[in-house]
Amino acid sequence: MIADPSGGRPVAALLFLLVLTACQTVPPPERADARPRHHLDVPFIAQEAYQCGPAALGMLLQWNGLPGDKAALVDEVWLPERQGALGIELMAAGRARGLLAYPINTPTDLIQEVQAGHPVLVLQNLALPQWPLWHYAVVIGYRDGGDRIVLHSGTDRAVESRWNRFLRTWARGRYWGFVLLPPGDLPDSVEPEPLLQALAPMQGDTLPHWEAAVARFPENGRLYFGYANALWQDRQTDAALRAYRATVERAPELAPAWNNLAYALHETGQPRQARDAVCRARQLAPEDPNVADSVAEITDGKGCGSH
Amino acid sequence: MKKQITGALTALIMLFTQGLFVPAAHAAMVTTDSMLASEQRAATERKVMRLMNHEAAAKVLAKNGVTPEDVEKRLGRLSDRELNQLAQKADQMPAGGSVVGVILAVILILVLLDLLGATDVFPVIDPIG
Repeated sequence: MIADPSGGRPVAALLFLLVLTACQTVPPPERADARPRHHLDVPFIAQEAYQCGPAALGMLLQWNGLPGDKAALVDEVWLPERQGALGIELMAAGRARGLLAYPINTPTDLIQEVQAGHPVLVLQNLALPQWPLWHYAVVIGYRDGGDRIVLHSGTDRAVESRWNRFLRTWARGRYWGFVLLPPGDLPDSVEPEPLLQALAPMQGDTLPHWEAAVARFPENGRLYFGYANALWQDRQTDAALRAYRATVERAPELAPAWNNLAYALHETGQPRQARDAVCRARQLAPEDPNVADSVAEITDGKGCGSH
Repeated sequence: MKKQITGALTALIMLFTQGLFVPAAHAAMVTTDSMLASEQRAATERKVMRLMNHEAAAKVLAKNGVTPEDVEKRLGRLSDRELNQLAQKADQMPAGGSVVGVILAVILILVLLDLLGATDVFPVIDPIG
């Protein structure tokens, strides 16, 4: 059950937060009132020994219609010497299967995702901050307007917990949690920049994810950049060229986009436009060594000069 | 004889490793991930440099004949991993906002960047305090 979430916020801030949450009664997020109860159909896997990480991950994978064999997952994400799994490894394991691993870090977002039908894997500290007892569980629903939360946790299927009690244990886990979603599906609480951060490290066929991203945020140039790169990687040269053009329209200050647009233009036999684009990148990022090399390559060593 | 062999070997190894380190032209498409990584790096460098611009930091630098440009240059040589470790260490300094905290963080960074020997630290603290 021991786990180690990614990142490290200052301990002082965490303790302060704990003091706050320890003596306050925090009502469930208001939006839970709109639908007083909600229950998701999520396959349950009982954990063995300390292996709550692989079990929780397995439930999310099975919910996605993928094999979530616990024994195999133990080998993949469980660290015997720590008797636990690392949070970032759980996310990475989902990502490696082509799923979007998106962080959920506030109570409001948690309720919003459950309402959208997305189970949320959360990290809880069931004991004291000084002697943590880390635990992964999957939030599958809530009832009584959010006063009670429903979890698949450890060996308990659909166990209920009072909102305040759950919130305290989640706060001690630094509000760490995430959803795992299939291509084309996005979190209801999604924001463009975290989405970019979540999609960027993905490998393999990521195009459906990027298509969903730009459909959701059609004016976001940075997401368009990722979309264009995915098209390029998929060898859809013409579509990629159009997407790079759309990117620099939306984010004209983004040097990497001009750089890549230049290569796309170069590849499609438009050397003069390619030169203009790469020189624009140079203007925006005069000290970037990669762009400097691109200039040399695209202009055949002639450089940008002074027009 | 042994010395000669060692010498020849060293020369050979140096020849090879130098061959490896000839800077290759890395002109290329920028991947989404590498764009985010370099943005992250730039933000971390800015954070460290902002600390150097603090009034108390300027004094520490001046005392040791180090300019902010020196620091910037050294930062540029670090790997992403090293830079992150350095920034993290600076973040962990007690009383981040206070003058003493700033001075300690700056000294730590200078030591880590090898711009200031660890043995020089205490004389530095003294005149300023």
